[in-house]
Amino acid sequence: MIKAIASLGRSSLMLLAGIGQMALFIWQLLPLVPGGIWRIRLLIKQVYMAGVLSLPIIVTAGLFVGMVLGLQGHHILKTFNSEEAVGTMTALSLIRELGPVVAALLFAGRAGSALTAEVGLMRSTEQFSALEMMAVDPMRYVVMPRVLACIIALPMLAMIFIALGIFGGYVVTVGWLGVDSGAFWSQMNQNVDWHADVINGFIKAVVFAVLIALVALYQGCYAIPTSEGVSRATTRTVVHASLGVLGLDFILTSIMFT
Amino acid sequence: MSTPIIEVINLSFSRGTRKIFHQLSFRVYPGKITAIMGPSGTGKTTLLKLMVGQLKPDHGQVLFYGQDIQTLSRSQLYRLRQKMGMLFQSGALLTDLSVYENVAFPLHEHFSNLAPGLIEKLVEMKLEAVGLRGAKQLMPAELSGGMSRRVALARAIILDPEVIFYDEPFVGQDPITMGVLIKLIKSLNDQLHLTSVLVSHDVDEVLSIADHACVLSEGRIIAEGSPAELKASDSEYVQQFLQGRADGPVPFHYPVEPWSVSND
Ligand SMILES: Nc1ncnc2c1ncn2[C@@H]1O[C@H](COP(=O)(O)OP(=O)(O)OP(=O)(O)O)[C@@H](O)[C@H]1O
Ligand SMILES: [Mg+2]
Repeated sequence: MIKAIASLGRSSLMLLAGIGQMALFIWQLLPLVPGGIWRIRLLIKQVYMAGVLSLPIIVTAGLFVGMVLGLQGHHILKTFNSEEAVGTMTALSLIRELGPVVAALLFAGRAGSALTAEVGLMRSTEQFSALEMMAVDPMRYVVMPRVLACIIALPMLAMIFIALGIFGGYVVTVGWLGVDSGAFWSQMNQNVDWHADVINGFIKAVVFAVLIALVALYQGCYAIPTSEGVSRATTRTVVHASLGVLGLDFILTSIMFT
Repeated sequence: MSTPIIEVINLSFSRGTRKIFHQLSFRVYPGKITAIMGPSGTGKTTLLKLMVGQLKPDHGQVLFYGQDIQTLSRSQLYRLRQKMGMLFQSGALLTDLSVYENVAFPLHEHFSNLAPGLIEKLVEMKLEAVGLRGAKQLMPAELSGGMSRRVALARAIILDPEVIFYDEPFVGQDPITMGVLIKLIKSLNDQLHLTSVLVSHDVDEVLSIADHACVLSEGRIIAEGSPAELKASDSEYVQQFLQGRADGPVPFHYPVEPWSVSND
């Protein structure tokens, strides 16, 4: 009994220490944001690494998710004799939820884990120490460009995911199941609102990007500098970032859509 | 003698419960090669990190030009480090940059207004000095351990530092390269009037170029002096270390309980 309480106390202390360390990490990063934006070449390289290299998985996943949404939507809506609404349903579920959320989950697995591993290995091979000895702040040179690159890349990836998802839904419902093409688009056009849906979906993607970037780089910077430590940190990035995305999505949805 | 450029005063440092240094003091004089020797695991790398302010001592001070580096602000410390070069034991090259970009990196970061042609000349000069001008397009992953250490050396001297720290520069080098490196360290020191701090356990090589050498054991300096003085020392510790004998007063083992075969 005492043991259980003690271990509860220990783990909550560790949690608090972790939160404090994370807050300190963010506090160190904030003043570097303006300078980070001007290091264009570093930034472009990182946007390529995080964004462009994530394109194949985002494109494929977007298409398939859209196609499945089309199939399921058509199947359900047919029982209410309103197959034409399938366009609206596909578009709204993608723009409001599935686009930002699924793109963020894939991004956490594809780019977040890579960032943690890269930064963790840079630290374990003394590259951070070497930078400090050359009077270059690793937070400025390594961490900041990667954070900004995530924030630039993920919203764009989410948009691409949504566009391909809608295309996938269109191909399946109009091309295969025979829904009227005009109805598909005009219903979607009437029912998707620029501000309430598109902007809110975009805001979600930005918030998720900040979360994933911070988790991935925090884990990389504080990983125990051994192969085992880095591999554990990589796993933690994927788990924490994915759960964080889902949790935040619930909070954001409850603020935006109620 | 002139005023010391670096002074380590009563330095103590522990890792967890293990005391690595206890009341360590020594001085580094300008224009000289100061060697710190000691068995593996005595904390030579740790000592270098304490000297450049990457680790904080528990007690004691490190003075650079008479100023305690612990009292410096981050930007003052960074300004001081532009006058230092450090060769890491592992090389520590940036793995996403080529050999050329690695050596040019400090120039690009601190003197970005230099003409590109000039940067290229400077980089080629330093790479030539370590015998790797032909390797400038390679990536760090394509280099051997010895080669990456030489690239790291070229990078450490690119800004023409006033003080340079070498962590085990000779490990993993073939005899020819070793000879070249010894000459290079000596000539950098003498021609550019650098101050060198050299950490190593390659006794013969080190003693051949050092002006002053300290022998480190169990957290303190057990002997120091010129190479000739050390060789003539009658201390058993020093003789054991210089001759590389396993038995003697210097422990070869990491501290443990005595090892005994129980027979109960
Ligand atoms: N990050 C660390 N955490 C805990 N202990 C450490 C750490 N780094 C080094 N040590 C301990 O400090 C001691 C000194 O390590 P250091 O790397 O300075 O040795 P060294 O003299 O450079 O050895 P070598 O000649 O093998 O490079 C070692 O015994 C090691 O166990
Ligand atoms: Mg060492």
